[in-house]
Amino acid sequence: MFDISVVLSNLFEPMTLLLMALSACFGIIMGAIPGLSGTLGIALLMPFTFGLEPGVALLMLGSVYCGSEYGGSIPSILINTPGTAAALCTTFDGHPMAQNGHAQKALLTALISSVFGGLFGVCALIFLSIPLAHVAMSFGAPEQFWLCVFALTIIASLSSGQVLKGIIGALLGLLFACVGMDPITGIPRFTFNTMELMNGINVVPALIGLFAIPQALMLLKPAGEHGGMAPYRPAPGVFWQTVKEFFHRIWVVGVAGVVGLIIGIMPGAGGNIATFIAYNEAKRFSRKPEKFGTGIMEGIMAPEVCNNAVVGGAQIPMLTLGIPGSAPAAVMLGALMTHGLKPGFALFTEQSDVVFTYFIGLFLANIMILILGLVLIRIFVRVLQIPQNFLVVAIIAMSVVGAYSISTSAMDVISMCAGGLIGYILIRYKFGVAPMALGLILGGMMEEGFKLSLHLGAAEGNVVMFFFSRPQSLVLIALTVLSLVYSIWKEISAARKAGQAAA
Amino acid sequence: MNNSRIVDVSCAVVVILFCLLMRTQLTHIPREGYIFPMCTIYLLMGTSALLALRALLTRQGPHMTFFAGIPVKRWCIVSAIFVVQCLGAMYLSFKIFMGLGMLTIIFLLEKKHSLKNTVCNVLYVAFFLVFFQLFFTDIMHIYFPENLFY
Repeated sequence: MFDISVVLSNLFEPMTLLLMALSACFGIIMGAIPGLSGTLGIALLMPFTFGLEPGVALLMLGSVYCGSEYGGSIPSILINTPGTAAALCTTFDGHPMAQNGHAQKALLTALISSVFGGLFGVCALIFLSIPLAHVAMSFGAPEQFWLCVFALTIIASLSSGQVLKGIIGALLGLLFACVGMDPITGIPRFTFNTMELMNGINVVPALIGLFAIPQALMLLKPAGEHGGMAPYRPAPGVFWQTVKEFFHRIWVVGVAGVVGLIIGIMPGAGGNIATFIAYNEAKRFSRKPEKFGTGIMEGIMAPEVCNNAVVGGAQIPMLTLGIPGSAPAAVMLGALMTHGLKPGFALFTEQSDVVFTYFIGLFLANIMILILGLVLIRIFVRVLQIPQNFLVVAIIAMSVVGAYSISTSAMDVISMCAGGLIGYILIRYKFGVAPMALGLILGGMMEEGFKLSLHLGAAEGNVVMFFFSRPQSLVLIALTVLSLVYSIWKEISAARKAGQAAA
Repeated sequence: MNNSRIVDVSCAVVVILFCLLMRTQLTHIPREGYIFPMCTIYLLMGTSALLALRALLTRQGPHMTFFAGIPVKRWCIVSAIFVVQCLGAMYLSFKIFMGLGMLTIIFLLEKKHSLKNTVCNVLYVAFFLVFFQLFFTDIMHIYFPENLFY
């Protein structure tokens, strides 16, 4: 069990608080700039955390994640352009409200909703991750293998929108994870007789490349004309008025929070899908559904509570099973492993101080976002005016330095460049980056489970039965098949509808 | 064939060729070492073949472009500068190549060139280089390559 005094002393060190506040600011800025995202923010910040305690490092990345989800609402409200994909629904009511002269109220609603959503997610993270970690403890080698298969198939089918392409991306990731010395026999594989590839492909530089470089390249597109910034004129007393109105509509927090949590737990779904469902559910539960889309508070609260609840939800399977629930959680998983922490039950027993520092720290991070959002909102609004050329060079420079600083190896920078090119191709041709990233992260764990199962099965006399007869394995196989069948069915019906519409 | 079909078939062919190349690397390895990557390779080839087959059988698909509205010349030049910047920074001089690379990209992407803008750009790049020196080298003791000078 964790020692609360150790956790609190870790957490309330001035340096930790300062780093968390800076990370939250960085996250808000990354979210507020259309085209950048929390995933990119986490990937770029990761190398800065290597010299730190794992708990503090995780907190910095967690603060970026939380901050970016709130930051995405700022351009959604002011310029009708979502800062992140998950903030798209916020434009439906946020921008009309801002255009009606209530930009401050809209921004405050988004801020308060984000904080409540974040706190809701963290509570769920604390209460659900421990029982799930107990379930993970009962998993053996075949379950470890099937869990990876399940995670890869579900992320492949949900994140790219095309099951086959997603699976190809995930398999490519698995293949790249095999590069280097075989962990059991020590024999080099896919090294093309070069010493540089002997240690395999370092996951973190590859992730930086996959997520950061395509974003930088896409910013080369000539800047589109935004529909003009809605006037932002702060006035006294609006905060308390907004708080009062927020509590009159507190039911939205429950509806959107639960949606965000459930979808966040599902690997690969992420906030993009969740916010649409939460918006629709809030509309369905509302007494005045016809008012949605005209600039009402519920229309901002639902997506903002939801995308912040996803943050906690996505981390539940990440910390307990090693299966991230969203793209930012996948990058965080890479960071977790780089810091020598292995997800699962052992993380909650052997590294309980780190885990609980992180959990309690996330509470604090959300409170910090509230304070930062209130104090620095004028600066965050100005961030929308940063020229794109400055952003492109900043992303490129941070990516190069970040990749190099991991093990001061030029090979890592080359991996990052290659990852960037591959990531760009994957995005442009609709394969999606997340399946490949997850394949790269889970490759080692999956191969270990596979080989161990082969050995144990051979020792028991029947390898096939060992893989397919254990109850937990059967549940995971059933889930894998179900997710695949459902995604394929959905794709076929969408293609049929498109065909009918064209006819 | 429309654009998406060409893209899908081409991607499938490239992936299958890549798999065949990787397959050649799995010779003279004991069964334990190659079974997992071999399974992955065959699955990858199978799914790629399915992708090509689907592309050939379907009539319409979404339009996909490599540059997606980015001016081709700009994309190519910035990518080339990025590669030169990385190689130069890693094998010759980190500070010189990072600085020059960043300045060139900012200059190329700038809409209006003026003395004021140039000074701003130089200051922006200098800020990054000083930050890297202070944070990474002085605090974290990560030394960047300066092979030209040492």
